[in-house]
Amino acid sequence: MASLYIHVPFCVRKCGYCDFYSGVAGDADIERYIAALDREFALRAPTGLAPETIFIGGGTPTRLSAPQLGALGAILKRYVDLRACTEFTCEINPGTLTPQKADALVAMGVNRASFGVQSFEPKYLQGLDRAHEAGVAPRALEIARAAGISRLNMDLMFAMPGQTLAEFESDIRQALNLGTQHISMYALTFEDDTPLTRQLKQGTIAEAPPELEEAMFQLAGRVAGEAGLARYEVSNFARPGAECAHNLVYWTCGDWHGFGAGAHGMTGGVVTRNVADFAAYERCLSEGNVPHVPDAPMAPAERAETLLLMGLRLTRGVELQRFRQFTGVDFHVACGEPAGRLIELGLLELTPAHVRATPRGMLVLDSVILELAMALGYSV
Amino acid sequence: MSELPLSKMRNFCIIAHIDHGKSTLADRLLSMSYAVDKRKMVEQTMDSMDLERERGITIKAKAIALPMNLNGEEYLFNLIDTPGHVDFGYEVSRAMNACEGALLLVDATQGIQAQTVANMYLAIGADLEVVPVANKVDMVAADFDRTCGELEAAFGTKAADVVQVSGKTGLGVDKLVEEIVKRIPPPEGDITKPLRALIFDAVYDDYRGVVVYVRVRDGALRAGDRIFMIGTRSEYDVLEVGVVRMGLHKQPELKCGEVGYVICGIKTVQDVGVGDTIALAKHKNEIMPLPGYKKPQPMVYAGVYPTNAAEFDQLRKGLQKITLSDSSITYTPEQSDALGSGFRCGFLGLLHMEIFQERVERELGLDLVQSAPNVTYEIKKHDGSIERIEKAGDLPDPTVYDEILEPMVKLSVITPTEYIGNVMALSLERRGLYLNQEHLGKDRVLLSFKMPLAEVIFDYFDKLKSGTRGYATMDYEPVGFEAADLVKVRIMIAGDEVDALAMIVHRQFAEQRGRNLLKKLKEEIPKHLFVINLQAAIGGKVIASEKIGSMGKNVLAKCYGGDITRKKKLLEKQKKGKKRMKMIGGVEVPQGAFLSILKVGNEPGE
Repeated sequence: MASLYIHVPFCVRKCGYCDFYSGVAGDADIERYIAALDREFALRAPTGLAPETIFIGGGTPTRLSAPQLGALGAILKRYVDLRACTEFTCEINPGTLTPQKADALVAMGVNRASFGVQSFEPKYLQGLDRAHEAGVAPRALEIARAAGISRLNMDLMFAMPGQTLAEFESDIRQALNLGTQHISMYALTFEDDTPLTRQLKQGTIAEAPPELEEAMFQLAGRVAGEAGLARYEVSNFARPGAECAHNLVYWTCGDWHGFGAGAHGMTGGVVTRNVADFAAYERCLSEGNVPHVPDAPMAPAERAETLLLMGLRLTRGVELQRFRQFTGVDFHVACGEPAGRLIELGLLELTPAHVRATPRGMLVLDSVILELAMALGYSV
Repeated sequence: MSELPLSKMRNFCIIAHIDHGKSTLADRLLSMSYAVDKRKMVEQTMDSMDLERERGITIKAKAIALPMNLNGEEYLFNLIDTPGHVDFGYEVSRAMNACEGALLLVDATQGIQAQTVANMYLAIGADLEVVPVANKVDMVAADFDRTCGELEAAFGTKAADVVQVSGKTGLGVDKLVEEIVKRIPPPEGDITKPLRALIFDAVYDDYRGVVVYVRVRDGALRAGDRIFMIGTRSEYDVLEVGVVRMGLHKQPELKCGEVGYVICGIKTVQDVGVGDTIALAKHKNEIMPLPGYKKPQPMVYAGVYPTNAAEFDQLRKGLQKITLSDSSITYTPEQSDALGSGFRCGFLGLLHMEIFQERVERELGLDLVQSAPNVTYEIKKHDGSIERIEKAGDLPDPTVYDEILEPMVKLSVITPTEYIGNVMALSLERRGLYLNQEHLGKDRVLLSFKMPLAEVIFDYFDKLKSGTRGYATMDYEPVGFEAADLVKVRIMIAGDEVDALAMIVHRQFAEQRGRNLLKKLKEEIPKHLFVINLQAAIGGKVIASEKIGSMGKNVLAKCYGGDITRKKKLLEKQKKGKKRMKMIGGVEVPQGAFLSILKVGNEPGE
């Protein structure tokens, strides 16, 4: 059954590196947003929607008050059959979680929490303009656990300006010591039009040297691996069985529905992209219109490209059978030439059922994907 | 005006370095001429192309008739405009042949420059009466005595003969007009002889077709005449003759001694030979042409390719259009392994090539890739025949020829004396042969060298400027071909030879240039998923090698459901970028790499 993603585009404050559609809003805006979400579900939720996984992301979902979270829960109860749902994740900014909010989440059905910790070092949190302070992360985890949410993820960030390898290792160990089963570790990306990128351009901060970033990428795999959390995706590490089932839907190009301003969905090879601007989103729905223009269904070559660019991020790779199902041709036929070269270079490997990036290939995955994509001949 | 006797006519040109005020002085003379309606006079009438105005160079010579009134007597000045750069030396010499005199214009705040000297020698060669003029004498920085000193040192000019003017304020220009009348001899000619007219320029006009500028030597040229161009052996009917003032002024005829234009239905300037002689068709078998006509030979060649292969046809049409008005550009289709389909274009010199590039971008709006320019070589084969080599890739195996010859130039450099050492070192290092040194006053010197043109086009000018804090000026003129110990340096990328990167270099510099080029390529070619070997070789012998290491971490940190569209857009952009790259031996080579050749010198660590 298709999964479900719900977007909450509000933040306590905007982080310096973030280019997601989100904004700082007051309570009145939030209430109007919840009402609009309600309308979107009423308008376009498939009948009998019974997702196996749900993910509430943002923004900062926990920017909502406990009663507002309750209202969101009520919408879900009306339109969604939660009986088949085995994993229900909510993103949490550690500084915004209260016991009341945690209870509201549990009442909604949430059984997995993803904490945007980023770092335990105060100076880096400040550098990223994060809203929370360093000490609050352990306390937030406690609150979640006390409310009954046992499946936890922590997001860490590396290659921040000035960060040393030792500081990053200390961040990983602190996260592991807090007993998490899942860690996401992202290299800081300088997105266009963010305060951080402007600082970079002005020269007030400097990017981490490429060799250091690479060393950190390797360090993440080693330290997490030693603690029993294996890399299963470029930036994601988990104990066996604790992988994020919802995100695996994205990486295997499964079906999911996206609700909320700026939310994307993909079902049967058709992408939906809701309008990101909150006011436009609200206006669409108040006029009784779906808040997106549906994309044209993807051609087989485009689906194949999408499958490769998502699936090769997983260490287990892309199922060859799924590639055939999406495109009607064998991977060997479609991409044999570049794949052969990449295999020879030790960047790609074939198993009986999968094609996957080697650890070295994972490090340069974007170039590997580009080589394969050229062979597919798909272009907009 | 035609009724004026020859004794009241003066044909002259102005020779000057860029920015020494030629256009301003021309405007001043124009505004003094009573024929000019001042309201209609646009600034700098002589420079019609925007491009020329920006560069301060007049590319195409033209002639303007200036009726003058001096002490109640009427005169007619024909001011013939000449390009100020020796790339156009042949055109300059033809324009000078249409004159009896020249104004040697020197900016008194700057003193004489290399170009001034080169053009002065052309004027002396054309047997012109030269009137030295010191310009900008009204400015605080002007040093008239020093300028006179330099003129005397360089050309033996007496200070008393130098006319002081300010083109800008008009100061001294009345006196200059008097001196022109007094010193420059009137034209001579025999009206009874059969027509002979010198073509000194041809300009393409969208409405009129080609406008041919002529100086009538003997006889007269009339509308309705059937004419014959001796050099190109073609016949035309004269539709119109006249003189240029503010626009074309039709006249019934142009008589011997006169300068003017001819329109006779010629479609492109390619069909007109500057320096050619016009005669009447009925005399075609008996008349002797005027001396000095030759077809200009390109000195510098470069491959020109559309960035987008689909624009090849547009480029071909564009080149046709540009050569309508510039007959000295040659182009032939060429196929490069690395750059695809394009044209090999020949230019009179480096400046000419730069002007071409700007015109292409401005007038055609095409995005071009240009290979590094090279000079033309000649090889003497075993049977004594000579073959021209227009690109390094075409040079055959050394066993096929006895010797290889390269074009030489006489290079003139004017520099403050304190930089003599730097100029000498640079020029000798570039295989220059020191010829002569002439002091111009007490603190400047004219140095001349014989040097291979190939060494001059290798960023010599940039090096000269940086070695003299920008004070030196240079000029050069071709002096024929000479044999040299030249070898072809082949470049291999990942084992594949790249024709567009081959260079012909003196054996003594081959290894260093090869090494320097590989270093540049290493900077230009991005890292790949694998290690790339670069090699330079002479024949089968590798003389230099470099490695480009494989790429480091390159993977998007976050890619979730909402990122798919964005990631695909990025991928699309990367795919397009990849398609623009030239694939050589599995290596993507960016366009800039093909220009690297130009940036490598003979010095280690460059």
